[in-house]
Amino acid sequence: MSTQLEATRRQMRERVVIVGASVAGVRAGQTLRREGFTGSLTVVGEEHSPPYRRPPLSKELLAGTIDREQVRLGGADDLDAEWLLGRRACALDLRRGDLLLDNGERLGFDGLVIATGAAPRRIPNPAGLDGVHVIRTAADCLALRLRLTSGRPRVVVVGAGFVGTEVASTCRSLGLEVAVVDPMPYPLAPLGPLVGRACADLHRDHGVGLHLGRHLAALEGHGRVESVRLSDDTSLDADVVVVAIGVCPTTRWLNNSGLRLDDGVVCDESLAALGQDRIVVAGDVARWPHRLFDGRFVRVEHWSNAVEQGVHAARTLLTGSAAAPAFVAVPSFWSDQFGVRLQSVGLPHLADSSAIVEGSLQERRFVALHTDRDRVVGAVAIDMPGALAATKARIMADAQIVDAVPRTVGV
Amino acid sequence: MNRGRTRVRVDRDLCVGNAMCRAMAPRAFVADSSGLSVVADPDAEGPAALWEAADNCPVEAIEIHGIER
Repeated sequence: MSTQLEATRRQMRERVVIVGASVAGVRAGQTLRREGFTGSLTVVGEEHSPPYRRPPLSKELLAGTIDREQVRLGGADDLDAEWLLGRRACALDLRRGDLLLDNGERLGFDGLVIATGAAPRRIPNPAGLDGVHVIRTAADCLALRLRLTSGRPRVVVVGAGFVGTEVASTCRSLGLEVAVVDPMPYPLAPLGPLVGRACADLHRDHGVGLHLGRHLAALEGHGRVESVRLSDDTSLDADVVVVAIGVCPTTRWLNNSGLRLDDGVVCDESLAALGQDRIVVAGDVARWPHRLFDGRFVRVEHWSNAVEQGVHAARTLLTGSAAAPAFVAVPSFWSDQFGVRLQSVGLPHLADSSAIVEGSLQERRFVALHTDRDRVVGAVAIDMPGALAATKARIMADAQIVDAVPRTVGV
Repeated sequence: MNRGRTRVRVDRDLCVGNAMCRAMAPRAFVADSSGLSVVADPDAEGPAALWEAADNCPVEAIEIHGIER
């Protein structure tokens, strides 16, 4: 360890506060401890329950093939931290170096990890109809599961992204009638038409009613939802509506803080909040310039990104952003639908074209390579395990490393 | 540690070669020719490093049996 690093560690951070008790916050806390931070650690989490894994919420936990205890997040128990669960941070005061919590308490810090994640977007429900669900938390999941397992409700899923398509798959596995509505012409639109059409075929083959190229116009019912009306005036019967139209980063509590916000907290490439040396950001809430993609500012909502950024942000907090390396992990995620494993690496949505380079659409096993002006920016594999590691390497090789974006200077 | 009964497994259907495990427990995990992680010598790393690797696998591809946290 360099003497400079030791000095930084000595002088800094008697007290680190982590806001957000999901995976990014927990992995940040673990990393701080692993790398020798012995000061006090406080974790503030809005939910009352201890940390848990989110990927199973739209799949196994919703299907009931695993239970609540089985989604507990490993590694959270031995953090040696003070846990303030059921508490929300309401404001950040940079000058005082403290946070205001929703119970009026102020919490001082020497170092701060912002890992507040994101909250699901909702649709207007002016009549307050019952039966309209989102799925973000374990409590959301279990509330929805209760509905899905009471009688045989007809389900309409609004949004054909990952959560929406996974929920549709789970509903079919429960034997329920399900329709999916999305304004795009195919599901999983950011992954491009090849993958999207394969996903549409998969869902149709398994009895999902796809209503694509249309959006939801209104929820209808008396007291509880009975049907939804689409933009082309189609009406679909619905006992349960699941709204899966994406998320918004949870930054409202930072509105008057002076931190730069722009669809997330804007960071430098080391994941320090722009211009702040003792505040780092990780997970769904972080927007940072990605060196492998021309330094463009991105925000990534994958579970894997929250894990990797939690680790990286903690290190940046320990070393100071000037000495910290850039966060350059290649994003990756996976999804399971109807027994088919979909994996993605890179940022396929940046592509201007995609082509199948292995397997075929007919077999429904393929690798689609996504390129932007002939440069590889991502790949998606359908039921082709192990196929993507090479693509990751190629993305890293193809990247034109841009000059570092200013670290501690506001832009 | 349960030497000999140590069971560490990388699910190759899940692994996409993020290499976090290789950073956290470098003697236990190595890359194969396709860039995926495989188990090398799990007994060469302590339980803490193995669990760190499993916890920090971004795609939760590492299974550990028979080793206490």
